[in-house]
Amino acid sequence: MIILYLENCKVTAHQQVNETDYIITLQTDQIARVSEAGQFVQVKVTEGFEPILRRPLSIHTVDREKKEIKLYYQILGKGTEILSKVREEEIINLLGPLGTGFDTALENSKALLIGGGLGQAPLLYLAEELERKKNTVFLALGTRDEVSLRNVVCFDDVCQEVSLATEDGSVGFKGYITDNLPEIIETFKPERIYACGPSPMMKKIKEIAKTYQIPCQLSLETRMACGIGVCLGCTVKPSDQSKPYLKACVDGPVFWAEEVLLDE
Amino acid sequence: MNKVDHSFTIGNVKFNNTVLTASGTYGFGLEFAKIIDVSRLGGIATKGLSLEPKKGNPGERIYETPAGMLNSIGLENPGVDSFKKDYLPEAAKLGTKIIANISGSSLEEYGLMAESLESEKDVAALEVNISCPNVKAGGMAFGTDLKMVEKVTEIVKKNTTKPVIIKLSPNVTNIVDFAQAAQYSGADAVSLINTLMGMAIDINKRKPVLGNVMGGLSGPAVKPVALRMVYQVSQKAKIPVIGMGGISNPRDAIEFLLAGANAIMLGTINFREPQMPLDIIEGIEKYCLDNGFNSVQDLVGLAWKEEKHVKTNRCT
Ligand SMILES: Cc1cc2nc3c(=O)[nH]c(=O)nc-3n(C[C@H](O)[C@H](O)[C@H](O)COP(=O)(O)OP(=O)(O)OC[C@H]3O[C@@H](n4cnc5c(N)ncnc54)[C@H](O)[C@@H]3O)c2cc1C
Ligand SMILES: Cc1cc2nc3c(=O)[nH]c(=O)nc-3n(C[C@H](O)[C@H](O)[C@H](O)COP(=O)(O)O)c2cc1C
Ligand code: FES
Repeated sequence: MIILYLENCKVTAHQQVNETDYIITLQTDQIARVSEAGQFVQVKVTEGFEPILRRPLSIHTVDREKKEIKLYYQILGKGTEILSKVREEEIINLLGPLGTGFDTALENSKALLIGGGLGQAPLLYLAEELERKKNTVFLALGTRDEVSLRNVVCFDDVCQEVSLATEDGSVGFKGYITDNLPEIIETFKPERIYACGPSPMMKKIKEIAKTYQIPCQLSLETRMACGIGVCLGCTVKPSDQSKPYLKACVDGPVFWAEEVLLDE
Repeated sequence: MNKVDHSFTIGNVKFNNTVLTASGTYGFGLEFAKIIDVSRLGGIATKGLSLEPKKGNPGERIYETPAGMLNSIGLENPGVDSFKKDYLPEAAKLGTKIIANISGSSLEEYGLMAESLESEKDVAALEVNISCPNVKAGGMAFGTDLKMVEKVTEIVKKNTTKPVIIKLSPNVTNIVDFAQAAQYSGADAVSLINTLMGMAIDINKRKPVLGNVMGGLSGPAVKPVALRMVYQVSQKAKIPVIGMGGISNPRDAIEFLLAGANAIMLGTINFREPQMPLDIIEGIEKYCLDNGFNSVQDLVGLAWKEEKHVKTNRCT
């Protein structure tokens, strides 16, 4: 039986990346020990009832020796706003590690990681795992502007090459990273694609991966209440419509592209 | 371990603890068993079961509201046959009582489900959902029509020897009438409240947020309403009352017991604080010890029992 941990974690660092993005480092004996790339934690951001639900955040990276995990998040609404005010030494309650992460059974191969905006959050842990297994890792990252790319240096050690795109053209390719994707694929010739980002981007990547016939994994986001598979609030449509809905929190958040049906 | 007697009884079934978990918020108990010791619970009400498997509603199913949430899951479940075969054997090993929550889209279906579960020794009791507001053809009509509540209760009772708990809808003018209808028709207990119908609108899309338009409100926001209903129903009911709706800490739970609930169920809070059922058990134990009660049942209804006492004194 997989065991989930409900842990009180001390904040050991809380760093602001840019106006809206933060990286929080948390001390956790258990979650750091057992988590896998692509999994997430449910964060209790307040003792009050506003908001009442926990917030799902991907595990950005893990330091098993220091027993620490990092979360990379953006202030979007009240939950993440409250989280951003938490100071070092304070305690936060986490539930995790949750969900089915990336398939990292890949060795001596070439992997393309594609992140859109905050989609870069779970990719660092993945890149580290893939690099450890002697894969060549290529990162393609698309964001709105230059400031959203400030964390990209973290990837330098584990990625052979990094390709950037910004919507405003301030850095790298001007436009969406998906517009540049065929070229990246033709140059790098990846044997596996992993992607995380907004839904229109996931849909596009699914199509491109299909065209090039490259096995592709997508990390999807839905609204979640429980995060453990009981509330049935986090549905994802299966490709086979005769099957029951998939649950993003346990069957995912990472799915094989052909498993899921993505809407606009 | 406990110095206080936490047990209570419905029909001929004795539950070891007054703290249970609510249908639709606990699956079949298997997930939470990875986090806490669920054997300490009085029981687990299963996800609402239907005769046939149900896919549930498309589109957004949950939406957070101030101190609460809306849901329109649409009764997604594997169906009663799969429950018996694939889930019940595992759930039975959890060491707590399993209450099968059933939901029909016709009177006959309620009867068939009760019959189908009759031979399952691991099902301790049936909780009959007559109030699920999510399924267009089902729930609502039964739970808001007194005659239908009587008929559903009768047909379930006719097809089972297990204790039957009728789960009442709060979306009615006078919930006491519905509790009495259930009791009159042979219910062994009533549980209340199911979710309150509500909705939310996305002002950017200018459309309802939930795929099903309307959904059920739960969580701390509904607690005062639920508590009031338990207070009213328990004064009239001669059968046990299970109270729920927004219970989020030991204090809330004790309020429900004092309002007249013989036991309580926890729903939405499990999503946030998986350990809360156990904290509540401990909180009730401590309250009883601190205040000289040997049994949790001694607390039940004290809020109105005292009041009646005072009133009589004044009148005479
Ligand atoms: C498995 C998973 C992993 C995630 N990992 C990360 C991560 O690593 N970093 C990160 O920054 N974010 C991540 N997210 C998203 C993050 O959970 C949300 O941004 C956060 O819950 C927003 O909370 P809030 O209280 O700040 O905003 P809210 O006040 O809840 O919402 C603000 C606005 O965003 C909308 N919204 C919020 N959540 C969602 C959603 N899930 N789907 C659609 N609309 C939504 C709301 O409707 C509202 O308009 C992840 C989500 C999931 C499901
Ligand atoms: C996500 C969700 C699903 C639910 N599903 C069911 C169900 O299938 N059958 C049922 O009788 N009640 C269902 N309920 C209602 C709860 O059992 C309970 O009556 C209600 O949520 C009030 O309690 P709470 O405020 O503690 O959550 C559901 C509630 C939620 C939040
Ligand atoms: S978030 Fe509750 S089932 Fe996935």
